[in-house]
Amino acid sequence: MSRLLEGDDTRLPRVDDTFTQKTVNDARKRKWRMPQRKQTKRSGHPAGEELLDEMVWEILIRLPVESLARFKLVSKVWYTIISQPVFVRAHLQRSKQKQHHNPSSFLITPQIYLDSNPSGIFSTNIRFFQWSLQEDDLPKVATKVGMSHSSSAMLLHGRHFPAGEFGLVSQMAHCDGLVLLPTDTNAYVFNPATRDGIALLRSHHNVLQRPVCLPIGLGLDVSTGTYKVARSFFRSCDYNSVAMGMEVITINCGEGSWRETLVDPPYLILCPQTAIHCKGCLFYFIDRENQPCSPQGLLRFSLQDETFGITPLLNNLYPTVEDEDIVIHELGGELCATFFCKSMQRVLIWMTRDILVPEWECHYVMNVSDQCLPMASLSNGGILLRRGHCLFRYYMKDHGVKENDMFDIDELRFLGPSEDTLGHAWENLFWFDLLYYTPSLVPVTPKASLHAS
Amino acid sequence: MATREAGKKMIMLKSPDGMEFEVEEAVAMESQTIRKMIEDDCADTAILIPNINSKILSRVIEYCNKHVPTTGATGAAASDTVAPAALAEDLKIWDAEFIKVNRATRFNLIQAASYLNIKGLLDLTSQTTIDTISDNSLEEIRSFLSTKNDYLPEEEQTIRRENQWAFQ
Repeated sequence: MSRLLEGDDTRLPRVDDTFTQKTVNDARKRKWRMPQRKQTKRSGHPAGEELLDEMVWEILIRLPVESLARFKLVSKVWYTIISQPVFVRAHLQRSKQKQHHNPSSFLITPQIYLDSNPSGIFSTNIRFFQWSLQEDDLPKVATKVGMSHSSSAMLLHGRHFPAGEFGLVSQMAHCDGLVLLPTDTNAYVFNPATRDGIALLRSHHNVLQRPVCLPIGLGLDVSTGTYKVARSFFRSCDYNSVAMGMEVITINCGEGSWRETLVDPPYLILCPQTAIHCKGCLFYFIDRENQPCSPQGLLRFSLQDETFGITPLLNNLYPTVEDEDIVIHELGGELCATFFCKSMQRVLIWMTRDILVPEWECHYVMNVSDQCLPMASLSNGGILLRRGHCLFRYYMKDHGVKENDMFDIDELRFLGPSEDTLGHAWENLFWFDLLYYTPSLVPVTPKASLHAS
Repeated sequence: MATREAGKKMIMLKSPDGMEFEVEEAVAMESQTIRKMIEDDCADTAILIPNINSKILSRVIEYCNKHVPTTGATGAAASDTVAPAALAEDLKIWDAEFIKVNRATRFNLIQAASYLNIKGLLDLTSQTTIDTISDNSLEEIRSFLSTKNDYLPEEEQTIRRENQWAFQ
């Protein structure tokens, strides 16, 4: 297992390297002014025999993470470009745009029980399979259910932790190529594409004696361009009073340890829970059962200033919907609330642009007979939904789901170096964690830097 | 600004080696850099394109000519998205022919596309280069791109170790 962060990292993203597209553009503008000067110097050279930095950038930005890891060895200039936070950011933006036009890349992690008589203990063998949903996959696979040449997921990265390092796992979260795996002891952050990973040690503040998956979330602090994990813990837990605190760790940053936030969460956070990340904030359901006087809505934690707020949730509905019946999600960068309306037999998806004072608008009314989760919006007005182990596309104009537009994860082949497992053949499978995934170069641990000689 | 029959606005582009190219404004505006100059009214006389010699500039113009959205009888520009699939297929074949150039020319085209900000051409030239080098060994890539390996052996070992999985 990789170590916790220590020492200083000379390639830490600085504030001026933040992620905004504007900054990236500015940087690019700066970049392509430079070669003009170089070019004039080289006027005697045979034109174009050598690639200028700017062109190297144009080529590298189009390459997948895997090639980039290899191409770091071409030369120091290439290494420097690929390692620059501004390049990492620009490369991510490009991958995101690609993913937006054609949502196809997913990460699947089968959560497996340790033994066949489910004791509730999970296997510590964590595997990330990358799967691309091809445009024609859904119908094709469905008509050939069970056939061997169905779609397959490739093992991207696997980590086998010592038995007993954790017992329970909670739902994973994804942000810009980083994956958070919460467990009842440590939490882990991986970048499966770069085979990078780190253990975030268990909470020392937590007074609960028994192992528990604490409420946790991963997201981007937009002001610094750094990724943070926020975990809440029980500050006190006796019969008279239950109080929670919050601790934060910045990924790939010098400090490398958990620190408490200045203010505690104003309400109890439902536990266990993996927060939803949207627009630089984490969103949690409040534990209303143990704190009846708490307000309706979501607890919001800003990763930038590390303060809390309440984001009201569908408070303009009649008949009213209990918050507990709503599933929150991030869809295309917007906060999204989904619930199954029994009386209408419809799934309603509401979205809001403003996360502080939300104006929830109903974007989809779907004629499906059960609760399902939106995974991604599709380019041509459709939406990709998950129900259990099934994925299906839904187009509003069709008012329903075509039988052959379903895809079953159980029918997927999981391929590793020495593995070929059909989805339903996983022994003791508990659940498939399925993340809408953008591979990125975002570093999790500091790497040995090259100091210019 | 020069105008020609049919009321089409013409733009004069000049390469540093003194050649002048008269092109339709719509064609020139395939380049976001030139579009910006025209929109900012900085283009009333000839536009000097630095760094791009006449040979390369003429290829770039050839590309833009082919890729400019076709103008219908009504004068409304038909966008790429509504172009029939056959037309798109045609363009693909044309692109494939267009990019069959030697390495130096291709690098020059990347540079020109980057400077002039012509997304399609930049994608085409960069992607072609990527397709050429993707499966090659590091040594082949270095020689193809005329790049020197400036790592000390121990530095190379460190980075190779860190990214070992990528070399398996």
